[in-house]
Amino acid sequence: MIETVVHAPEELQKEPAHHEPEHHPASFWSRYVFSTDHKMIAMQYCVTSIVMVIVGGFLAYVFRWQLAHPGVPVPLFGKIDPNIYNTFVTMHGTIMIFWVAMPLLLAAFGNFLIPPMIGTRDMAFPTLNMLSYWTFFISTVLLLASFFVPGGAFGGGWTAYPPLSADAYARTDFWHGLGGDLWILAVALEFVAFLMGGINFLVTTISMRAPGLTWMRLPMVVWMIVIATLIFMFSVGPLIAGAVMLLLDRVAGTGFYNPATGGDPIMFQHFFWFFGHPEVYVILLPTLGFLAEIFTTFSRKPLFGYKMILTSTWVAAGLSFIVWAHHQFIAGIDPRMSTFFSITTILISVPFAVIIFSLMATLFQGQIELPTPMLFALGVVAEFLIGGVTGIYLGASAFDIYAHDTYFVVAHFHYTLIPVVIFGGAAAIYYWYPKFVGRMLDERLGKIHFWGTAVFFNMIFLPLFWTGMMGQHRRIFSYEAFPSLNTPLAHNLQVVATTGLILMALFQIPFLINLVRSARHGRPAGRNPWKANSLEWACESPPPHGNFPTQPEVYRWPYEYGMPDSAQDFRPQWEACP
Amino acid sequence: MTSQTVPFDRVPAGRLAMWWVIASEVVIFGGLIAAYLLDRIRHPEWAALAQHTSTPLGALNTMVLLSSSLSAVLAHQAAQRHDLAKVTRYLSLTILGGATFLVVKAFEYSNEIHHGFTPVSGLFWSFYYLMTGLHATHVVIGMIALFIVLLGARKGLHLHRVEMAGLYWHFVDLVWIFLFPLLYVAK
Amino acid sequence: MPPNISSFGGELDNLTMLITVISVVCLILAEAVLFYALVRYRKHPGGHSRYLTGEGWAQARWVLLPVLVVVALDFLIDVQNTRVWNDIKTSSAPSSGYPVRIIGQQFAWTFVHPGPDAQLDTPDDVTTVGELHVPLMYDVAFELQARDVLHSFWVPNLRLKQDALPGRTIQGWFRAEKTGTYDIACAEICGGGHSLMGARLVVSKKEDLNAWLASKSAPLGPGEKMLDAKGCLACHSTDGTKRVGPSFQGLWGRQETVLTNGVERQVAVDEAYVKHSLDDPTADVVKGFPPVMPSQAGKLNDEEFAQLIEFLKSKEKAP
Repeated sequence: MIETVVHAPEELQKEPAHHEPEHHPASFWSRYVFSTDHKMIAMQYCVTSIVMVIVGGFLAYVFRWQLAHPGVPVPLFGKIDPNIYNTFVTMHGTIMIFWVAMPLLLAAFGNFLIPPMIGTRDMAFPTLNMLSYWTFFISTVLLLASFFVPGGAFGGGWTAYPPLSADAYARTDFWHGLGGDLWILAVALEFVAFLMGGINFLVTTISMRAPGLTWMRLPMVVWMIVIATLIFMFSVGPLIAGAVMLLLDRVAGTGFYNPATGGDPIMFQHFFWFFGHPEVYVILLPTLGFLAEIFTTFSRKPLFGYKMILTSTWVAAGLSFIVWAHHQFIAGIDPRMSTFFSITTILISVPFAVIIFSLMATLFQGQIELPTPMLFALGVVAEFLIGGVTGIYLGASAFDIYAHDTYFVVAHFHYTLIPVVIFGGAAAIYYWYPKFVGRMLDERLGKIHFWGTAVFFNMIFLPLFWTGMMGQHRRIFSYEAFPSLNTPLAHNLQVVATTGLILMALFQIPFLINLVRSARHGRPAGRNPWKANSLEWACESPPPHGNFPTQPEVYRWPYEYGMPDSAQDFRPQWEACP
Repeated sequence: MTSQTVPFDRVPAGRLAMWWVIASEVVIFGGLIAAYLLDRIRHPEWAALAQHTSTPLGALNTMVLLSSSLSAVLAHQAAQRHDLAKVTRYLSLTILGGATFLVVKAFEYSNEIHHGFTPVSGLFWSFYYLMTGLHATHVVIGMIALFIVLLGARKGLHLHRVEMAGLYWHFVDLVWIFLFPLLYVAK
Repeated sequence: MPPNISSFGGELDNLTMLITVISVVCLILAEAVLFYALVRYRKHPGGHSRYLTGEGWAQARWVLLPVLVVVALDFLIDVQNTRVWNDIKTSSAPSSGYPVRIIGQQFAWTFVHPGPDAQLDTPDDVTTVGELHVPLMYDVAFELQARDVLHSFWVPNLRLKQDALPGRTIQGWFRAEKTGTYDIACAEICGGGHSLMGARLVVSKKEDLNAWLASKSAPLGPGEKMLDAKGCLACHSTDGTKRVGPSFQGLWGRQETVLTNGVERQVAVDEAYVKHSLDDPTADVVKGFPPVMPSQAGKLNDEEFAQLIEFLKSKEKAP
């Protein structure tokens, strides 16, 4: 492997003055709260999303309890009525996508990883980065506050289809309260926060890479985060406009989505899904990046098909903008349009097949070790395959007539999102925790966490494919009104799913204990505990403010494992001699 | 792997960030304009409503914004020559252009409301007020940004910011170039 | 899946079968490959991994050939799907079939059947709530409407689901090939009573259907007509039948037990109570009914309100 190293112009080496580590002792506030250090901001995003996953999980527990035991008061919560049920279903979706998946995978790990992986001291605009987090924090507070306003939180489904969500004229009066307005505001603010964060991700990666770090030597995870940021930025704009229109419909009495004044309720669905489908890839891509790093490290092999993966990702990113209407096959759009969207949807499986197969090929003829991060990473692939395969069902528009809005859909997207967010997030946390805390996580607790999560996750959602096939539709408080859907078999399956949920939740406790305990009592990690190649492992663990004492230089790509000519099976990016 | 090594060039972070901001704004306005166009096609009768907007005043405002964009360009050139007096003058002119635009716009609004066309008197008017209102908000933001840049540039500080503020101002101008024919002229 | 009763459901089920066979086989293969790799290439002392970058066809084919297979299967599914979709949605929609109108509202389905003249919007139309009667082996051409928010007409046995949009009429068709009674549901979240929005589809022979229609055609009085137009009768029956809300029959002057903020109390049904319950339906909810009625504030003018009171008075005693 021959590469020419081209040195950066001189000015790159000169960092602006405000990047210098502060020498006077920083106060608690400037160090932990209003910090501009990318690692502290990442930590803040990470902690917030863990708090929110607990909230979202609790909501799921409450409404799943109702499905398994209709009418029985929920332990730790109490009695639930259809309005609370709708509210909780809505907020569960909103929280898990916007307040867990995005902040954890994109914001937290984007912030953690980009500066050290490209060999720089911090983000291009540290103050903007801090502002991004605090905007996000305000949106979190608004969202949580909406539970406590008169009328309760928003309950019109996380997709917020008008006219139901624009109740000024639909008069669905139990949601006329502040809850819906707060929901829209919170989501819009959150988007603004991520747009601000996105500026940093993109600008930092483009203009602050270490000397020698060409685009084709960039770790795959950085590529993935940058592409995800781009997808997010190009898809979210129309939804922001659409949300403003929805808010005006609610508070000012305009009629953008009101058929009575000539408005079109379907318009919002287009806004929503034009964003909503690319959003799926915004969440998926960072995890695919994690997998690239973790698979190579623990199979001691180079990434299989770096360029193939990269090309496929760009193709998938492009395709993701022309598949959105597959969420609307039965919404009353032109049937010929559906044929087009059905074909693009099935086509998008091709680039992802390339990526997943390449990742699997990375394992072949390697020397595979199975510590906890690798287990979770393998879990992502094993479970995501089920989610991907069931996506083929739903992409077929004719089958979607039957399956749309049934539990089949619910099970399908949980089989994509839980591997990606929960398994992928856990894999990344287990893998990079030693770097950013400086101590190793406990392997025994980690393995308990993995096996408990993997087993009971399937126990929740495999039965739901079945109930969906039986015709049970989602967002239903009780099936009493539908005798043929309310069969004992369907009910028993719902009980199995709920039991699975409770058990899976219990198996997250070892994880939380592990996170807290290992921060103090874990084995010290050292600089490079996994013997990995990318630049972040050149820093101390945890990296000090500014990450690197001197500007590192990059001599090769980050996947130099198992070279035939060497006794050592890895060669870090920053080491000069071959 | 044989990765070809590209020359390592550094794009100024500030300009890159400004393009990013503009790109995200373009998709926001793009979504709004697309929604308006789709509704406009379904409602040919809006042509009659568009009669009630004042094309002469709209045209005047277009001229005002275009000239203010010109003075933003001149300010940028002056900044490159480090001609502080001219930078100050041209930036002030740009801000003045924005203010003129807002005054004319306020006059139009009050005239339209006087004739009974409020944001809730129909979908066309909802779109009209939303799109022009959002644009006017951007004009205000642009003026504030220009003003902050002006304060520094007077003393010769942060002269590269003149270019950033100018870029943003051109974008605001460009949005208006789209809105004007859509809301005023297409009848 | 529940038994299919529609003419196109069989094709849809065959498509489902095709996808299932393809995807289950692919899934098992992929998982097998994954687990094979894990077992076969576990780290062993002194072992050395192979330096494979996936550059060049010799290596990349291990990924690209399986992907080609995936593409081929994708197209197989696409072709089949497009055929089935066109059969259901576009090509064979009948120009003249047995017409019915389906109206969704919070939280009930109303169905308008044509009378003996087989045409809608004629005086002999028969309107029912919660029960759709269609003839066996006839193409049923439906017009789907919504009164307030989005709903979705969902009949698992027909393999039919279609969103209903306020302000629009969506045309569609189906053909039931088996007599019986089947569930109709709403599959798009529409509010607190979303899960109450059940109805029945009754498929019967044409003769039986005609007999049923004949037994039903009774013209509505003026008050009843107004209430029907406003959609009240979807949830409140006029004959004592319990639907989503209390029946109008025998309501006037009755002492009702209501829940106010969760506390039970007694209320006499009078003009003030009726007015209050229209404006703020969830304030005093009759015991035994869910708090799901949307506010009707501003929906009835004074004259219509007087008509309502008149009508309730006429229904004070059971006939």
